Amino acid sequence: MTPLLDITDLSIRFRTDDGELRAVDGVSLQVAEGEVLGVVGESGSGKSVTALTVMGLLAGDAAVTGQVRYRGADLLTMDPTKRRALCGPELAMVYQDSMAVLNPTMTVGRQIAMVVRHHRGGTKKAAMERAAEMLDLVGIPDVRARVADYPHQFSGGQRQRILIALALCCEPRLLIADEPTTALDVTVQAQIVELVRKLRSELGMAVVWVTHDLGVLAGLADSVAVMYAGRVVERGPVDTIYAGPRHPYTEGLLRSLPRLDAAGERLTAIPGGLPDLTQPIPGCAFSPRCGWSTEHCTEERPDLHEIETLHASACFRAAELPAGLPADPDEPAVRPVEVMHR
Amino acid sequence: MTDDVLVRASGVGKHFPVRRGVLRRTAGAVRAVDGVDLDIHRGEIVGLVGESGSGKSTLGRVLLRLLEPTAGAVTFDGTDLTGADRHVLRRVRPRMQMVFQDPYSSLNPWMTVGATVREALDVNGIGAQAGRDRRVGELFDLVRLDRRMVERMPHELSGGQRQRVGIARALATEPEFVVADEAIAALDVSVQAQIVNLLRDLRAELGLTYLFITHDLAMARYLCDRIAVLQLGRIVEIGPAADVAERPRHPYTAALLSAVPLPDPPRERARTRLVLSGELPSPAAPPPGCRFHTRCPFATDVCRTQEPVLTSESSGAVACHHHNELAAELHAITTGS
Repeated sequence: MTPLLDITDLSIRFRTDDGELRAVDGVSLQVAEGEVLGVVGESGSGKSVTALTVMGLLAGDAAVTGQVRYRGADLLTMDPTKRRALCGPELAMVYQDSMAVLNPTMTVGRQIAMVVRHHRGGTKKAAMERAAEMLDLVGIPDVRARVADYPHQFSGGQRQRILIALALCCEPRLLIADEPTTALDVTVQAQIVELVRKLRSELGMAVVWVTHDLGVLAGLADSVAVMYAGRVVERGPVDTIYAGPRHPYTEGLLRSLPRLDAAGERLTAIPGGLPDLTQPIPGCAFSPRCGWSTEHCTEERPDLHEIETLHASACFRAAELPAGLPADPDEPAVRPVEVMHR
Repeated sequence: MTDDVLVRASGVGKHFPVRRGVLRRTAGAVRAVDGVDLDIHRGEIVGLVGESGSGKSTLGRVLLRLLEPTAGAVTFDGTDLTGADRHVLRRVRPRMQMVFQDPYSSLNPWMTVGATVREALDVNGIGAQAGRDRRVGELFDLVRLDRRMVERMPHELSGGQRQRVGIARALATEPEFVVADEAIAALDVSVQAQIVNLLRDLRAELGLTYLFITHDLAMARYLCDRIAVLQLGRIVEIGPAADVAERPRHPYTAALLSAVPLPDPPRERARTRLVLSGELPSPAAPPPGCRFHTRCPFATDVCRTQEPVLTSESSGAVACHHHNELAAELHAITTGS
């Protein structure tokens, strides 16, 4: 079956004062109809840029190569008018910063109604009805009165839900959510995750959920792709990724999460920070921060390879990972947080 | 932990007037913090958790006397800060410091990060002029930053590095008490662990006392000795971190805990949640009775009319009319079964 979204060998470069920056470097991702894919990575991993590329929202100075096929058609080479028509009824995105997306001078009801009329036509009255229905669906209380309110009159959590209503008003086949809950309280985050889960099962919508927090994805995703320094370093079914990660970065992310159900042993932070993406990286980009790193890792770049069905890792030592790092008297198993350079 | 109280809040309230109309008449008050009693012992880490709008940040600022309380009193090491004159405050201020949420906006973008840390020494006249640069270097060592970074500008640093600078600046005056207000919220998960471990190590090395303000209960449980849960300006539960996180006695605490995702997909999918319905009531018009009753699934008539008081229990305190009957149920919700 052809995947709904098929990203092949996507690379995105930006010109900066320090030289060319490789934000995304040979990323391939697939999302099946109705699937929830979690894309995890820290700031600078390329996860948001990848999401923006799917929506065609990258700035003009970005050099993009590769393919982004949506139901077989390449979005990157598609006629812009045709592509724009897909946004709304087929593809929709929820952004992190709701205040920057919503028009502050227009009531939320009108903003949603405008999108509905643009894509579906119909009367203003019917579009407003639909807007109210959507706001109700995402749990805005007292909808009849509140459709006439402006964005600033809502709380942050409510505005985020309004963005979701806006994205969902044309029942898209694929929803892309870029850190939609990062700025919100855990209680509101739980409500939004619950809402997306419900809508997904009711509408059969596929979701790409971009986040830096593996915790959020646990109850939501079917599969997970972990990105680091512009590349996918591990991908697989959600249960496998959490129970048996095969890349030291994924393992590090999991071990740096505090757990409510575990007593207070020391959290294992990943030492250091992201490498400078304007400089060439000959080996594995994660090797300077990796306790498993060998000389081989600093010289040659490991490619993403399948280690079991559906589960792939870009680590030379993926097969050794489940056994744990062998004790080496000369080398501490987890490197101490060391001095960090850019 | 000794019984030596470093910071004490007694009946602390902070009400902000709401002004309306052209004449800016006072038309009511936002009761951001309302009747809070809290003792923070020397060397202790107290976590202050709650949703946005619960009054966490306001309480933190009142304890540092960055805001004057409108009711009650705050004492620091026996000195009453309420209504204290500037001479007293000038003496006390270096002993209490703050680490801010956003390491992007809390550092001066036009100053090198070394100069930012040095400014704290200059302003407070700490040490001889000549020794201050060396002291900046020591502070960078203390927060595990390369000394060569003193010449860098904030934009050249990563979020985690910037937050280390923020901590170095707070430690410049050799404070005893540090309020960390959502100090890790803006950072990536992998970096959050670095900063929290640093805070933990610094407490051991320097004997610091913290108020750790966060909305992340899992992190509070990891770092803190005790956790206080704030809801609409009131402490609804307080106790040892493990007790609060594992055996919550207030439905609000249980709801917060049940919203924290478990990084374990099969358990997370199977989990039954205590989902709060309704919106957070406005602190300008808190509901009568228990302030949580509009969102509480266990609310009864008494909750709608009578405000529960914070009552001491074996190891902590809780403000809920029904905490005894609910204990077993709340425990089940927390463990996700």
